[in-house]
Amino acid sequence: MSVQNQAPQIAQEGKTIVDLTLTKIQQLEATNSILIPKDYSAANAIRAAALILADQKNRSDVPVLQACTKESICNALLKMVVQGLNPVKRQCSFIPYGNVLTLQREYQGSIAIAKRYGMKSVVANAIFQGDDFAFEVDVETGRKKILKHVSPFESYGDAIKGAYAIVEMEDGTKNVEIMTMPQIQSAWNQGQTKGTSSAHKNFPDQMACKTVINRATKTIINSSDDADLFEDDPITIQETPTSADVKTHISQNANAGNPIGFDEGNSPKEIHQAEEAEKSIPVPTTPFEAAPPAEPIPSAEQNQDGQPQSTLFPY
Amino acid sequence: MLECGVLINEIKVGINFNFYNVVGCLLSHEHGDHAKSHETLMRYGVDLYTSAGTARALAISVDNHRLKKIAANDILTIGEFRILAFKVEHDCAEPLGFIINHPESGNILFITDSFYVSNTFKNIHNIMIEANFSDAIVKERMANGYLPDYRANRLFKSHMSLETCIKTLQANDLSQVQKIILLHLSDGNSNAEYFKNEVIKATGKPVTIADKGVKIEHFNQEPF
Repeated sequence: MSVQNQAPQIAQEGKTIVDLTLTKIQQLEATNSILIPKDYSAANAIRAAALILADQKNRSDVPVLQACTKESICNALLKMVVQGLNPVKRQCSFIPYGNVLTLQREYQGSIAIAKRYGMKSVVANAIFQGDDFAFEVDVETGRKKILKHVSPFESYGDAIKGAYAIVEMEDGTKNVEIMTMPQIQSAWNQGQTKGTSSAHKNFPDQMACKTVINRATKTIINSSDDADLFEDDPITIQETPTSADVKTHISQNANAGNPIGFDEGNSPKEIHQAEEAEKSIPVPTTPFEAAPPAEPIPSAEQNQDGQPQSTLFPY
Repeated sequence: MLECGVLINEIKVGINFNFYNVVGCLLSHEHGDHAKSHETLMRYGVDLYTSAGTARALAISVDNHRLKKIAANDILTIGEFRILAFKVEHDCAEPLGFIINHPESGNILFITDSFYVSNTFKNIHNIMIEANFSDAIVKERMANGYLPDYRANRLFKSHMSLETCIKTLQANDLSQVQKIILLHLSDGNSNAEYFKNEVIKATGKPVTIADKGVKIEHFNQEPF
């Protein structure tokens, strides 16, 4: 397959999967099997996802639409639709694990969902070394309240001590979520990069805010009527993207082709020949002959460096 | 001689200081645990048979008359041995595996440092194959934070897991196989006894775990 005709083919593939998924969703909707959020256009989101997927490649540089199974792509798209997420707004992203495409909800997605369930706004701040920060817990309601957070500009951006998020609901109640840096770090440790990605290193305050927002919105999302739709990603990692990729690669490439080896018996005169011409792995066609030990090896004459080959056996 | 990744003194003790019987050294790839003593050996007059890529990676001069370059699918004769080289998959220049034929030992299949092999093999009498790590142990150590991701990811793409090793063995005709020797067990990510039992269960063949100083008797075509 040449590179030129690959692109339209992938686009075509994406289109079929989009149509497939849309039809499936329309069927489900017709039978009232799923309810799609009112302010959400499933068709728009799926078409946007198809565009994103058409450009996305896995770690081995294979387009995901080719590398992943149709079923897993459909499932990821469905999961996106039932949660009402939009990939263009970075509310979710698609991650290939070997030949399985999965959907991961991003924190913008968590905010979008929480807003559908009565959240008015969420604000997060990082607490830096040198900040004057204090909070109290209302003993009646158990809700935390921030008493003061004064941040001298000189130490703004220094080492992070923690972060907090304030969630305001439409009925006016406010919830505060506070996390210390060690707590944030353990949340990061559950992730693939364990907090060592360049984003975590270069923008730790923003990443800490994301983490605390995720925690603050989690309660709203998971206590909603449709909590089962939004189940969290499993905390224990079964496969890393690399190990899943490698497994797929091995299952596709390992132990294939006709067996190679010396023929039965041990007669040194025996001749080894290629069995079939269409073998995937070329096997030498030159017959093997019993040769004295010092016979030059055939490939030794082709100097790969392109330099003039010196005499291998000068004596 | 197969590989030379130990100190030259250990090699000397291993062959009882007798280089007379050494007809050459087959080298699979350039990593130190396989190639450490290649320079000394060549100086001692041992021919080194390895791929062009490995020779380049080891900066062996193309003029060195002890260097015999081989490539995948080459067949060569060294003394009483016949060798068929094949391509293996490791994170280095041009790694090779070998089928070694000798009148006494029959056909020995040698695969190490390869996260899988694309070929299958026939008429094999003895097998030396890598079983570096087990998926379960690696996952557990990753979850506990003992094994950083970047190291685990390198492992997946360079070494053979017990699971792949068993699949590889099962993909081949083992009817004539006398012995299986498991090589290159990782210090942290393996369990010798468990590996041995799993391979015995899967193949029904006698299995030995290669370790320093282990002597393997009766490495022959016939069982006794």
